[in-house]
Amino acid sequence: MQRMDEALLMAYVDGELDPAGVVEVEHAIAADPALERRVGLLRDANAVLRAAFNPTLNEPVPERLLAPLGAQARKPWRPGALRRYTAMAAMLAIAVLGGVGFYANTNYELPYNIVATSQGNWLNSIANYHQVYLLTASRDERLLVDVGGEDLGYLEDWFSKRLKRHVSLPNLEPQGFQIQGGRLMFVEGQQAAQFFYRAAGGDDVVSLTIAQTKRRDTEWTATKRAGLRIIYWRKNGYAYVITGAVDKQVLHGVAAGLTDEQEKI
Amino acid sequence: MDALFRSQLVALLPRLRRFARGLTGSADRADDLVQAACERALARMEQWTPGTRLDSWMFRIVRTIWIDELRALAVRQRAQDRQENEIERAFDGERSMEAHMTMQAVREAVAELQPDQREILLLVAVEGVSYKEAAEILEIPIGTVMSRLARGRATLLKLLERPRTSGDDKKIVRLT
Repeated sequence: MQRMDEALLMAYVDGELDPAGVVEVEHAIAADPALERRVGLLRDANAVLRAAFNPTLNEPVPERLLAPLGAQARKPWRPGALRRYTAMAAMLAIAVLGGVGFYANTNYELPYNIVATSQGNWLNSIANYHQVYLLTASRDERLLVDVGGEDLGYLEDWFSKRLKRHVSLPNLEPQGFQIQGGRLMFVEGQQAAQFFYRAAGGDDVVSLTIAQTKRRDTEWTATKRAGLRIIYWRKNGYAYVITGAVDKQVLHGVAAGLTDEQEKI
Repeated sequence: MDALFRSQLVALLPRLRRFARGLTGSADRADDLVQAACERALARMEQWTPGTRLDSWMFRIVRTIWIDELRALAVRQRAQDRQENEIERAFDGERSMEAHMTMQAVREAVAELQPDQREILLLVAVEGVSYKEAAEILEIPIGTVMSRLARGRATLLKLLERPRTSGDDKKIVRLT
């Protein structure tokens, strides 16, 4: 690979390119599986680095750092939450290393929570985003989102502008889920939105992803990725994906609720 | 100004600790570094322009102090610290040995990078700063940011592809 290619790919992965550059790289990737693998590897390298160092963010800040700034130590985190976070970060690291092994043509297995993105599959990307945002759920159990769910109107406007279509978020309260917020992401090089819903008074989190797609329409399909249950369908150039580490009945209930409101979404 | 500055600094502490942990490879040394950086920041508060990025300003202070310390540290002392391997204890918890070894392997690989490659990777890949911000923090041209980043990533990937050892095998630490 030429030196310039590598610099360009790196800038792409680091979000440094202008829109024209992004288009250029995405065309090149679409035409060349080796480039796609390389991009996957670079992304994985970033993910594994964050997974290795992020646990520091969850540690209580020592008194000796807070006192000179006139602040007090907060209550320590609930051990349960910390353990869950650490375990997931570890899973991500293993999975991504598995991905590195995959690229290097060695035989690491990938039985883990995150699917190597270098395998290139739109559902893998969505499942991975879901896992990563669970992973970054902060100490007070909020999810890391671009726009919070407190102001539904603003949330819908924000994503309508970015997805270049009207987005009306389904109300899943009858199914016991409340909107937490949404996150902008890319699926197959297209802008997509992932909305998170959390079970009232519970730990279950499901996400609804709306992604532009060039694939043909399809009916409800159930599958699994990255340890998550998934139900998806495609209609009129958009894919709708519901996913979560939840019971089958729960996900089907959510999907049924969405279908009722599907025309509105 | 003073109270606002302090509260913003408090909010930044977790990220500063993460950055320092990556630079130093040691929990205690990272907190020493962050403490020194906060002291310096408080002393030079008036040099920070409100409205500009406090995180970039603080990363630069952390990094400057660390470079000074690196220069002062004898190689022998560093080798001894590495063997004590405080990283491992800092992240101890309930999880499988394999996961533990893997996370550990990543942190060890980062610790083996050249200091200039390590700091750029931590800033861009972990802290998410832009190339331009990284160039300002490190006071280097943007072209150098890109070439160091490319070298750092290539080296890191090579280190991660090494066969992983298990059990209590002593890791051989290469000093750069």
